[in-house]
Amino acid sequence: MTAPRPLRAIRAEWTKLRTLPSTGWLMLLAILGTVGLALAITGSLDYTHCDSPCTVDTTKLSLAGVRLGQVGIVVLAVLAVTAEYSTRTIQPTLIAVPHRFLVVLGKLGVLAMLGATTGVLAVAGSLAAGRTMLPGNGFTAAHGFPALSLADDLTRRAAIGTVLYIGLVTLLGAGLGLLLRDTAGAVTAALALLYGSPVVATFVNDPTWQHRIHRFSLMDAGLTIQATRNLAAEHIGPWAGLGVLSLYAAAAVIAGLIVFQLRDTH
Amino acid sequence: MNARESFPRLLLAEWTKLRSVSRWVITLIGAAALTIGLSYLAASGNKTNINAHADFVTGPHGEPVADAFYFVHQQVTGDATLTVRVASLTPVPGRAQLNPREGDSLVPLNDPSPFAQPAAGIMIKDSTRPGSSYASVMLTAAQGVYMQWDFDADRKGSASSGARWLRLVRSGNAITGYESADGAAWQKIGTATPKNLPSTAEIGFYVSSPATVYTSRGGGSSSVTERPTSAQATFDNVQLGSGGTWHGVPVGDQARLDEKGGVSGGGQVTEANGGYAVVGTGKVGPRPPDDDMVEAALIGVIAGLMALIAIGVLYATSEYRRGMIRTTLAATPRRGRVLAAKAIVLGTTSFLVGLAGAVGSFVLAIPVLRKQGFTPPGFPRPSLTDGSVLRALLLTAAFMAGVAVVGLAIGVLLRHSAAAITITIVLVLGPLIIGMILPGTSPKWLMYTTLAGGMATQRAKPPTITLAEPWAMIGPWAGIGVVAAWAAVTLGLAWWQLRKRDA
Repeated sequence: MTAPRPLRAIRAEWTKLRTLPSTGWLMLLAILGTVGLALAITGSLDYTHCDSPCTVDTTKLSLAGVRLGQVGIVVLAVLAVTAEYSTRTIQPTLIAVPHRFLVVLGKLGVLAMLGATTGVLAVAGSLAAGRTMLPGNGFTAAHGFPALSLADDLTRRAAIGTVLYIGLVTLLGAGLGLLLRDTAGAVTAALALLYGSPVVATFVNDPTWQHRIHRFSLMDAGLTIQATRNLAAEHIGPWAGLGVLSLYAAAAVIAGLIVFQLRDTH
Repeated sequence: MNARESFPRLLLAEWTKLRSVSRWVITLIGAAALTIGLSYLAASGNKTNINAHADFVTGPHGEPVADAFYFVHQQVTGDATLTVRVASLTPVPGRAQLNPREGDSLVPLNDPSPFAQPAAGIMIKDSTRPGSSYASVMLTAAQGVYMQWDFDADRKGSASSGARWLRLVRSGNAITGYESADGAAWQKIGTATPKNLPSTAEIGFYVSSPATVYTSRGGGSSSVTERPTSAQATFDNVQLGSGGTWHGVPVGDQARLDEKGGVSGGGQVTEANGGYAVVGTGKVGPRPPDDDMVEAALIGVIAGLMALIAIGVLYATSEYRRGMIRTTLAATPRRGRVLAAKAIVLGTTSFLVGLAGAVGSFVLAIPVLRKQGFTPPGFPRPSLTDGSVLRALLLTAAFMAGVAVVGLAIGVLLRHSAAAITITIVLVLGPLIIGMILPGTSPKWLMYTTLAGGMATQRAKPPTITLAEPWAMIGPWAGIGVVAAWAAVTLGLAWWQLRKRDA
């Protein structure tokens, strides 16, 4: 009872999430999905099939698994918020902590930590997968592909950026959950936002429009930070891309927060 | 069986459930609105300048064509008969083969069309202007003898591959083609009336050899590389009623072919032993652009699909969440019938919503696309009554309905909204994203095995591997077949689980 109120709110939210069996499974799914796709991609790369000069971005490809793995953590974030509505536990929650802002803060804090933990494990696993698979496929230092290492500035930036990306999509999922209060709606909206724009970009053939869509779509802009080669070909700068994603996440969280403050719980 | 258990009543009951949740009705209307809205907005992101292209040639019907070959010709007025014997037709070894290093990421395009064959034959043509009317009889390298005219019509002759006698007879406006093994016994191939054949036309013998097309795709984009090829043929026993002199001339834009393994000057003719050896390069035939205007008008389907997936899943899971399934199954103890009624009601509703969305998209997006350069001759105006357009719109609606039913079945199987929605959406979108990144034709198997293959229903044109979008690799019927198979298998599993499990 001695802890300050924000910490107690965080602890309460942590207890709630920790005791849900789905939390662990979804985190595991996110990590395994990311690392699994990383293994599949790096395992199927072959230096002898690469154009010369070979300009494959091995860091980016090793970390590409988050495109799939993020689904787990986004669903986790949505469920963490909306499950309270479908099971009506939101009422006891708000009786225990009447300060609604603290409730949201606690939830977001815990989710951000879970997201970052998942991100760190997934990124570490992906880079390990790349380090293991790539040299066997001809991507060796002799061919100009030193083993992936965090000592390399660009790879380190890609790794940190990917962890931040996972944290941000977690917050985005939570914000959409607060906004829509409905599991189905929020999951659909989050996945459509993430995956819809890359599909639309292939449909569209005007380079100007493709450029615009890639710049302002969550996933493409946010994952630009994974690029370590040919940065000029990217549609947006690495940190600016994460900035675009943060804007989306912030907009979802703030809108969710406002709605949460104003609305009744049912 | 009493009236309460009758199937039409059950359908009515399920329809009442679907239409009385106002949130779902709004989402259903929203699905159609999202489809139309996104299609309309995204249409302005497509642009083409094909009609302004430098080597763009239109045929007698105004359609885009390729018209390049080496023509040994003379003028002839009125009725005429030309007979030749094609003694041999062989490819000229050149730099047509790509070096292996480059070749690994490039896939050669195998066009099965008889217009895509190296050929040696005889032709009567309006003039040597590219795109002008013609009729020809030719020996192709691998598909036997053909008669072709005006770039789009053909009649198959014998499958003969060796030396062959060919004959063209002009009588008024009708051209008749014949072939023979020995120059004595003639078989008729067909009769054609080319669109514009003046009384004074060019007649002669020719060689063509279409470029090998290589495509390279993956990483979200695609490119096409052409390597010109050339062929050599020997003609003898050339007989034309009036005996003028033969002139060899390359037809079409040959200048760009010269450098890369084509033939300098676009071809040549040499006279020897009373016969002629002709080297030629180029293609004579249709050349439609790869881009599909109908597909470009239906971009929004992907957005409407997301909403329909949510409805499909909720239509199943909400029964569990509210415990209503127990009431439902108490009223209709035969569980398979409940599932069938749900699938029929949801499928029909989604089909109608999808059709409204697709037709609305088509009507609104086509005028936008026409402003962006999608105009004749490259892109003839598509009409709602065209067979291929109707097929694309109806199959797209069926695709949306099928995916919604898969959502329903996965919802019954998992009884968990978030999990079922996520799995269904990932089944559609995951392979699309991965398929865009994967190089070459490797995403084909993804399209044949996952719901993403259903995207092929949006295409009005035949499948091609030259585009970035992976679903263009399979045909629309294959696409809808994959979705139908998924719906059948997931419904079967759901039915089995529903019977086995407690509610």
